[in-house]
Amino acid sequence: MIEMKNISKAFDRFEAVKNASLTIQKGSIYGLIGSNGAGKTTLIKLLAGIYQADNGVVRIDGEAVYENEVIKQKLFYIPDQPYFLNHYTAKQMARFYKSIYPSWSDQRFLTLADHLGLDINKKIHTFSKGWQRQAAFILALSAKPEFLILDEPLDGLDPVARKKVKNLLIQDVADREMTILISSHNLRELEDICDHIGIIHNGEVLIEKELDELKSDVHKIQVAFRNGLPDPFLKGQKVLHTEKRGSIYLYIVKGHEDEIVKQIRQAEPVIFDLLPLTLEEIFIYEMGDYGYAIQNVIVE
Amino acid sequence: MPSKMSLWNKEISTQIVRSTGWVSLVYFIGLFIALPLGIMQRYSDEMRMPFQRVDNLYQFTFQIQMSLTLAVPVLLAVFLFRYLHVKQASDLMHSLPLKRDKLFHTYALNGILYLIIPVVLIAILTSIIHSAMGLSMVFNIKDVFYWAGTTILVDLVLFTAAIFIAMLTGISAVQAVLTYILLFFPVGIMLLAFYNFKVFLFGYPSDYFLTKQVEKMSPLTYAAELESGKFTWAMAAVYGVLIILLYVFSLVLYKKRKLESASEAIAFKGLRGVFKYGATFCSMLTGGTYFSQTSNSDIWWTIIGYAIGAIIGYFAAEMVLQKTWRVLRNVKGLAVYSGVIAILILAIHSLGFYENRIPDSSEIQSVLMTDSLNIARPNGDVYTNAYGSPYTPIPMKEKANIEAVRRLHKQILADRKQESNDIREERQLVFLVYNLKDGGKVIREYRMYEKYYADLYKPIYESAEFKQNTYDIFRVKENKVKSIIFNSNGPSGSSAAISSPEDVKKAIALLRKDILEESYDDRTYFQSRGSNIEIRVGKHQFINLQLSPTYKNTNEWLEGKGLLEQAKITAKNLDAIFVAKNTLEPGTDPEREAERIQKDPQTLKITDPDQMNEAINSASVGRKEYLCVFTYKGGNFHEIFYFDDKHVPGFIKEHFE
Repeated sequence: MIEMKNISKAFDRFEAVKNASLTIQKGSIYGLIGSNGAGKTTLIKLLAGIYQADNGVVRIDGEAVYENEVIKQKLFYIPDQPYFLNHYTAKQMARFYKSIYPSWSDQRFLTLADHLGLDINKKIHTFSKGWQRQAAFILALSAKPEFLILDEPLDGLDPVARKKVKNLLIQDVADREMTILISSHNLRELEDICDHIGIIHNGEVLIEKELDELKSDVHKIQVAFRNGLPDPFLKGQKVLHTEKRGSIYLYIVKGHEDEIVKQIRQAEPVIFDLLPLTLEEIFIYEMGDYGYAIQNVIVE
Repeated sequence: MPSKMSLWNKEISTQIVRSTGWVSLVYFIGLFIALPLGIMQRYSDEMRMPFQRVDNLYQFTFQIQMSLTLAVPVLLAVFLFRYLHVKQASDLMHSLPLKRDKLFHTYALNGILYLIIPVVLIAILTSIIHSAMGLSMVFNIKDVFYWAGTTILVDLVLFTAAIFIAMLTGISAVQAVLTYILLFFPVGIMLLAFYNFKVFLFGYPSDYFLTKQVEKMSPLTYAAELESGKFTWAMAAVYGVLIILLYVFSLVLYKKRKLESASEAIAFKGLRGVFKYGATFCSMLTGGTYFSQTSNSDIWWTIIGYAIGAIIGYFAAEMVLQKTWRVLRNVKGLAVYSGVIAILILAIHSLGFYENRIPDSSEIQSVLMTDSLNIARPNGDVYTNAYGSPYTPIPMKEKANIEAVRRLHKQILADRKQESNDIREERQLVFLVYNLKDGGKVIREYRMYEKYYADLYKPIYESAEFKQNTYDIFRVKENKVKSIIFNSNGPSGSSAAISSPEDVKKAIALLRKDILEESYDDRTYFQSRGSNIEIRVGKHQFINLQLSPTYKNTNEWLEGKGLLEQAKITAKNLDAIFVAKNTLEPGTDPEREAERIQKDPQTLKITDPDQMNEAINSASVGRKEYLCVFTYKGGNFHEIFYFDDKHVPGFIKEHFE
């Protein structure tokens, strides 16, 4: 389990991460969403034990990560731009990581390289960006880490490679209960693999949610009544948003579906639709005032 | 997992070999050209180059050796610790499950090996050549050890210093530059401080301190002298401790270092101010020194120099820190700095504690008054011992002399305000060193016109203690003297030498007697006149003094031995002496006047040998009332001298009356 509690990190006077807290359960895939400069990379480097927090401690399995060899052996970090030792081939990189990560598996390395079609005897820096990224994935997964930390990993991958990589990640999570933190500036990109989402904005973690719970929890409703809106309407329900278009009312309501439907039916509306919400919309409504500020992050 | 336990990671070592091993290879090749090849080249043909003993192995193509020693360790450290300065490399290395200690030791120890291995290999190769070519006449195996040990120590000091700086900065170029600045800093700041104290503190003995071999203070300047100098065990110990300290401090800093400081000029926030104002201060001193020296110590130019230096230093540091040249708006720090400096200077000046201090008689154990810089050199120093006189003056203890020196000192301080800057006359340097009873020292240095202080100098110079403590001849052991040579200093180059032990003993005794009898006025009047006496006391060691015409005893003794005519210029060497009243304007060239008076009918031409000898024994060097020209026999060589009213021979005086 990864745990951050009230973490702050400043660069000179600029506070990149402010009082951030998040929890990532074992075996889950956690998506960290934020616009450029929101503090994603700083947060990730704090998690990877590269930066030392000014305040608070980042813990993995209850132990501080910073300068902790034992914990870091279970953790692999892929930066936003994959970086390899100068003039190293994938094979040489593999040997390098093998000497450092006790859990490294040569067999897995060869299998993965074969599966993705990577030439392991070629110097990595001669590869295209996308191939460099795939090489980084292969190396990371061969180290068989318990925790995998990925900073914008899907950038620069074509849809086919993206799919392959996502499958690999999901498979590892399923097989070995690997925990993944994955960041992106785009919610939609992560929608299909994450089970948890955290949103970071201006250095603060605004929200942390389980996706399934979210999806089943928020509803979009269109209703119209012959004699105007009955009073009271939707009493006891959490209304996140109201809008009126002519005689049609639009509601975003949080709560149990059954209860809400029952309540509305009792009011005998002329029109009543229960519409599906996209993930983006859920986030925007869920976060109230913040929602509009970070709309561009969530909706591409 | 064995690698977990050690300080060393094998794969990282492999990576280091791949990326920086070439530096070690280049070092080896360079040394190979300098030493084994250099030796083979020089001695491949015995006819061409005789097998002569060398002082040390640095004497083989020292330029190459020194360039390598100064460049390679710093270059190596820059390449090794580049992973700290490139953000991506830094992230990669520090995301690995390796502690910083291990990373540090792996990189630093590999670097140390890369420096040591080439030196050791070269030492082995040199030893092989030594025995193969039979070079035991030229050097021995001990020299090889000396060379290898010294080279490794100097290399490692430079290397660990560069690592230390690597931890302080986030830019590799800044690392290289700052490393050399740090290494040169002790010498540079001392030179600057000594020179600048002189500007502000009247009597500050900067020449005294500058002679104290400041070049030893920096490994850079010290390495540059390895060819001629000697690396002592004490120095080796100092360097050893320095290497260990730099290594440990580097590790401590590394552990404290924030990784996000990669690509920052100064990695630690607290040091940025130190860097900024340190640069401002040093640059200010440099500016002041430069303008002071180029304007003949004009105080206003010096102040302008300080201002320009401070401004340049401040903005340059600001540019490095901000990484942009558009920093001219940040003047607040400079204003504060100027204020602090102004207050500091005013405080030093108004207190006057340093400048006005003359120790109380009761405090003083002994006092030294001398114009010899040798007093500043440490005992056993090569410069004093190898060539010239091996003696330094001894302080005086007599109450009368201590009082006399204090009186002179008081007068110098009292006169400082009215001191004029007469460029036509040379100032004399005088050191006053008071040794206090509490073990302390008060050292002052003044440059002044001795003639204004003649009445104060006189009692000191005429005291037996001063003479015995200052003149080397009182220190010489007669049985150590091999020979005494009297050089006449004439165009014929004649000289007289004595070497029999009895004669040497006698001559020394007579010279001592003459010197003790010499008055201050005679000493001043006949300064730089007469023959030069060279007393040889060792291979390269000798003491020099003048055979003044007033040294009656010695002159008579030489005459009795029939040596006087070789020992000094006499009437026999001369055609004639021309004398005229001195009408030279100050600062004009006397040569033209010398030509003129030889043709002028008003001139007195002396050809009588007795009169000529009298004139020779009365002439002085500095300009005085009468001008005279000695024309030598057999050629057109002449010398110009002067007489004053007091010393001028009677017959000359009569002629012009």
